[in-house]
Amino acid sequence: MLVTITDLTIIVGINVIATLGLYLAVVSGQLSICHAALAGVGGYTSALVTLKLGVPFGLAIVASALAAGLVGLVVSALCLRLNGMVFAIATLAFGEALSLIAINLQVTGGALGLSNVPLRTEAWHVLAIIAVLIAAFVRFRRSRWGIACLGIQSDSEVADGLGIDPRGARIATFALGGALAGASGSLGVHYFTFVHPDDLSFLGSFSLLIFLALGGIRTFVGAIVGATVLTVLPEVLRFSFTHRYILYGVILVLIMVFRPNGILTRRPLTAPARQG
Amino acid sequence: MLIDQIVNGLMLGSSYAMIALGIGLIFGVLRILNLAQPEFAMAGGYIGFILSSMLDWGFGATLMGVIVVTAVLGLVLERLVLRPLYGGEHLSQVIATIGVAIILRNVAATAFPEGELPFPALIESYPLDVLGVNVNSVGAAVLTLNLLILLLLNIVLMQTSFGRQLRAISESRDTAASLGIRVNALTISTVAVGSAMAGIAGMALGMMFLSISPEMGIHYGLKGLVIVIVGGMGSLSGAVVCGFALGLTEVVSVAYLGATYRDFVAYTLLFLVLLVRPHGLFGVRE
Repeated sequence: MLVTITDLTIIVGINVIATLGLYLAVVSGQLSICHAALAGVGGYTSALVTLKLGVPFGLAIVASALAAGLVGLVVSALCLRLNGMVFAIATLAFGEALSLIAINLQVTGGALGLSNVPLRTEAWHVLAIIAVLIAAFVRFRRSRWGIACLGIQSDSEVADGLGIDPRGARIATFALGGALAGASGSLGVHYFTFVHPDDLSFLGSFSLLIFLALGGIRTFVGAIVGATVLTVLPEVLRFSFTHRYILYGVILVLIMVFRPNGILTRRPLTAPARQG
Repeated sequence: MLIDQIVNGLMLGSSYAMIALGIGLIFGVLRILNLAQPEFAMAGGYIGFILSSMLDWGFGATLMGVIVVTAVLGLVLERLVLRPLYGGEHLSQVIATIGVAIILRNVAATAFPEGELPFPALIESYPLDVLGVNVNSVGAAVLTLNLLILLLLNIVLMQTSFGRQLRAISESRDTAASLGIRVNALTISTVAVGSAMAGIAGMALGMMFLSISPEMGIHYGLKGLVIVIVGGMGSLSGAVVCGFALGLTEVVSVAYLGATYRDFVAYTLLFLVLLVRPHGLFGVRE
């Protein structure tokens, strides 16, 4: 089954946006294993508001971003005291709980999810959003807020020194990261025309983490590169369905062992850009 | 009957405890959370299947086979993946172990494309009456096996010099090395033991539920991961206690709330515990 360039662009773009959202979370020191669930929150929100309330697409995307951002805010606020792998596993549990809510509620269509979602997403939507995001990221990382948020993971006092409450910065960054995931979920649901509780599972979150880790988190460009390469790669490795996943796993392990910093950089993920 | 449910809960919980303990052991010596541990359990299930269903080995031989093969898998993992990643970024450790999980899961799916496979009980299945409690012989055997192993491990950890050295390494690898402890050799053996525990747990789960599938790792082992954290990352007893607690909670919640909410209750509870006790229930502040 051949996929057209337009389709590929859309799918890659959706993954890029979600991964950029994950980048925000990870770079503020919060390893999120619930990002697919956040995207799923966006997807379900978008499906529900368009199907039940007839909301136009643009507004639906905004609503999804808001919903997912809110959930992200809640998670981050609840988990303020958690760090490192404990935080990560807590988000894992949270994400699983979210996906189980989706399976069990009638309004979300139960185990079947929601289908017949209006097909609205076009390549230009996705590309436009990414362009805006790139511009925003470039400005953000030079700004006071940007330096505070991006610096948290390596030095939690950076934010403090800039007069910004580090906890607030942490929560805000995670909420923004969630909002991006939500937007990607909305774009996704209006492209695939259905949403399913499985989309929220930790496997999706693992995928996003893999995209990010591959690209490297020294700059946000890593998220874009990782998501693009790893979305396109399965298309390239088409020789057999399950064998290609074995190869995929092998490639992942090899890259992490030999280039733990991602393919874009040789410096450790959390090293400061300059010494001193 | 409540007592029956409690015993069922303990049986399930003992497998959770085994998986969690394996993860905890590896974490103790390497500070790496082995996200492939669930798939090691799955591997144990499949090796058990190959040895018993396909080669007609008996219970004892199959158990030995599972232990040996998963221990070797663990050794390979340690040498090729864990050792290079020691001390590195959390993210790369996570991704690398995920990669191993993907490899194992898809090797199983490729070798056995039928999906879910029936697993033989390996022990005659009959109802037992133990002190007035109705249990199944297979479940009882599994519980006994797991408890024996846990007991054995406890003795080794607390009473032997091997165990003492292991605990020293968990405390501080560098200090242990400077004290002349052979850190590398002990790490390798610990990873082998931890992996074997996962394998045994997988075989036990296969026996209890009479089936295996490539997804069983995800199904049972994911909670094992969460349990290690909830129990407290430095604490092996925490992992065991939480494993049993979760088994009990799940069985009781199925009995009173129905099966659909079982996993939801499990994950929500685990999440809430972490919020209240950020270092886990028995966690040691580092």
